[in-house]
Amino acid sequence: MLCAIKHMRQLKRLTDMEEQTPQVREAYESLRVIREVMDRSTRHSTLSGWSGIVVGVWALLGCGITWEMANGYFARYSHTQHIELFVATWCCVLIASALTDYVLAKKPAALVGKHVMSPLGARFLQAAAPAFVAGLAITVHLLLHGQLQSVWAYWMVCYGAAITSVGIFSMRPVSYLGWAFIVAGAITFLLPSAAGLPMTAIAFGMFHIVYGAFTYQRRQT
Amino acid sequence: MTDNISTVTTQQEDLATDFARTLGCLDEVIHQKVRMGIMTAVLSMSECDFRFLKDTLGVTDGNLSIHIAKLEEAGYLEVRKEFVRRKPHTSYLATPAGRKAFQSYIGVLERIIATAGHT
Repeated sequence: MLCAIKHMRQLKRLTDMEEQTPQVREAYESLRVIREVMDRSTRHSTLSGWSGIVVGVWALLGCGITWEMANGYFARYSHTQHIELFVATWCCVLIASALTDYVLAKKPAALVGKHVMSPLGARFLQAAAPAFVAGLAITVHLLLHGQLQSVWAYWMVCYGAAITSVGIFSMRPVSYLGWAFIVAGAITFLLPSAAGLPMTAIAFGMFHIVYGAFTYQRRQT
Repeated sequence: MTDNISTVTTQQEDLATDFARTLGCLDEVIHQKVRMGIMTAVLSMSECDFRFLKDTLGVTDGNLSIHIAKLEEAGYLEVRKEFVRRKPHTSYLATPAGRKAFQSYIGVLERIIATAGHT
């Protein structure tokens, strides 16, 4: 008798568990909703579709000018002039990219009542800053020691690290973009130095354009 | 053999009890789709305004106001009113209690899934 009561109680508990299964499904659904809202909340603080594409185009232009330095119109310039032109070109690419992102991200952010320089934006800057500063320090070191030909892989790895850090607070594709840069940088380290510039065009140019197109298409649907 | 069956049964009973207890821990204030969305957005952004919440969650003004009021009543949300370029601007921030409640809510969801995985 006691045994039967025990089994009946056990059966009731198991039946309760069966009834609670929808609640487990609900728990999964709640976590999915939270992830989705996080994605939607942070989308105005990262590269928008168009800014990704334009930033990619700036990078391709930078690569084009650098290519001309060695092989085309600027080949007759002296070594010092080459270095000055290199620094000027990539500073312009950096400034143009930052401005593009500011202008193209400001409009959609303002439409939903959010300012670009929000607390989250400040957190993004904090997350990205260490890798950017490291990249800058490495670039200065290579510039002073005349080893600029190996700068590309360092840029990819540092930029990838910065983007991956930002990806912690943002959408998953941002992290994927960061990892793509890190992998591209690691591959560039293994390749001959002549492959550095084409790899930069692929990473900073094509990756941004593909990411931008993907983000744009994702937000349209 | 009987001992083994008895041990397994006891373990199952413990898990069932644990599961029921975990379900009881779910914060009813947060455990609602819109309120959960508001808390997620506010905590992701540190602070956000009404228009941003409306756009992100895709809800009506009235619906959003009701849920914001409930979170405010529970002491999970703080309303900050200020003037931006001479225009009134209202933004919402999570209070320390709201932050703590949301963290434990996530913890409970994770425990529900983990407990269900063991049964």
